[in-house]
Amino acid sequence: MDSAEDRKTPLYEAHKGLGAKIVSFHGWLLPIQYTSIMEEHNATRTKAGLFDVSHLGKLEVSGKAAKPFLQKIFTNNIDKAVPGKIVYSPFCNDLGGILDDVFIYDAGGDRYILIVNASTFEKDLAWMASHNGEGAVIKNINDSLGGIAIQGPASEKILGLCDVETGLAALKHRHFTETKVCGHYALLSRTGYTGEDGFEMFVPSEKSVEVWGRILAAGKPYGLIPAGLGSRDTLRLEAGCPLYGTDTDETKTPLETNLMWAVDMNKDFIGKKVIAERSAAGAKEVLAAFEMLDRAIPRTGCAVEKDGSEIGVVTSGSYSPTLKKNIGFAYLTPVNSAVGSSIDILVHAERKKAVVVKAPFYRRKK
Amino acid sequence: MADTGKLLFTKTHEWLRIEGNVGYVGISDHAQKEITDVVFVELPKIGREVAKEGEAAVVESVKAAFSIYAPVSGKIVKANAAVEKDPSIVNKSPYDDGWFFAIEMKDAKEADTLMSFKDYEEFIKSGAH
Repeated sequence: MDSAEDRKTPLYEAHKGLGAKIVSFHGWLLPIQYTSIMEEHNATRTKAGLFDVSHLGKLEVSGKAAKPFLQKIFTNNIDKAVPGKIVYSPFCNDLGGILDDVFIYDAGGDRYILIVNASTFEKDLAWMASHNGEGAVIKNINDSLGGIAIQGPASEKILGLCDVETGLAALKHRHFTETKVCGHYALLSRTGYTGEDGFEMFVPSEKSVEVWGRILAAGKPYGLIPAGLGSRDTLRLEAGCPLYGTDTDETKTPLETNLMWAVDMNKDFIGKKVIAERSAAGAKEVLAAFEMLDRAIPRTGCAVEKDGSEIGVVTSGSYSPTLKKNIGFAYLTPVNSAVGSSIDILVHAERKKAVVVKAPFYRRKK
Repeated sequence: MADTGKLLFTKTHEWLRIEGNVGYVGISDHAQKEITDVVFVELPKIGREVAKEGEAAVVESVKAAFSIYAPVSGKIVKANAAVEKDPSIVNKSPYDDGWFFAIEMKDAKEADTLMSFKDYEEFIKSGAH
């Protein structure tokens, strides 16, 4: 499981100290759970969970050429990225295939910070470097920053106890600020991957352990517990967030993955021609959410059938701790992807009934 | 806590408790800890014939599915509906309330190849599993 090349995040020893079960995840040694995926999941939904997100890839793109370069590669319009606001966008190859999905932070003064997936970091960096005719300055800032996410309804209260220089109440969803947390620099955003309110922060690697420990201590009276990749996966699935490499990859365009809301067809970008052609022709498959009616847990790779004919494949599936149902994502032929459509999932070689539902599975009460 | 002295163990982490010609089957405390939160159990139907080391049930955690193998051959005579209804019983009481099914044994001698609790503990420590 562990390979010699696996990297440790700045919080690795802290996880060990907390008794975490460590796994290899896209080249990083990360906690899958500390005590129990269910406990960590439920704490995040009802109180708060603290996650190590140091594995997320971090790039800085700057200079006068930064914006034209980003406009050319990203499908979404970078004009939406006013300073302090975060824009989500896929970027695609010439065939419209999604290379990654990225959070773009406009830090002002022609400086952008890109948060990319861990699994695609090296590939993204190489691809961007080879498509940078504009001459933007692309800097790998991965090693200098550790990442910590606090997620759950008690997040604002807890983080408010950790010497944050900026007022948290004023920080809106999908916005960020460069501030100080526990006295140290932090790229702090109101974002997450769990469907809950919460914050993500990138802090200097060498200060990560201190910030992690102080937040954990401050949050203890409010029910904050450390949470691993296991609950991160069940939380994001309930929240209807696709995972790159699992639910989307280079063989899919934004059309099949319901990401056309993050594609601006009124500007030019790499892959636009194919996406326009496919849009006109209609998708052959679309990513749909479903829940099981029969007793069975769907898993990645399970075939989906309708009247005995194969119509798709499950990409993510799990027991949902919040809904106490079995849920998943699958690529389905468009004719079978309408909400309410009944489908069969092949689980342990047996046909089990399921129904297409509207994503997200879970939406928090505001 | 059950009297583990009365249990026999497989290398695949099932236990067998023999009562007359019937063997009750569950998974070890070590196995339930490794699996952690059990969220799904699928039991064999009453009357089904199972072979020693053949797949007889499925137990699933949030993350993955695990097969439960029959420690001995025979016919399924009981299935514990309580663990299907509330799978967390497997975590709470792996040796008592968390049993899965009972087999009417074809050949009691098949149990001779299984390990005592002490040998099973040694087996786990050796890391050979």
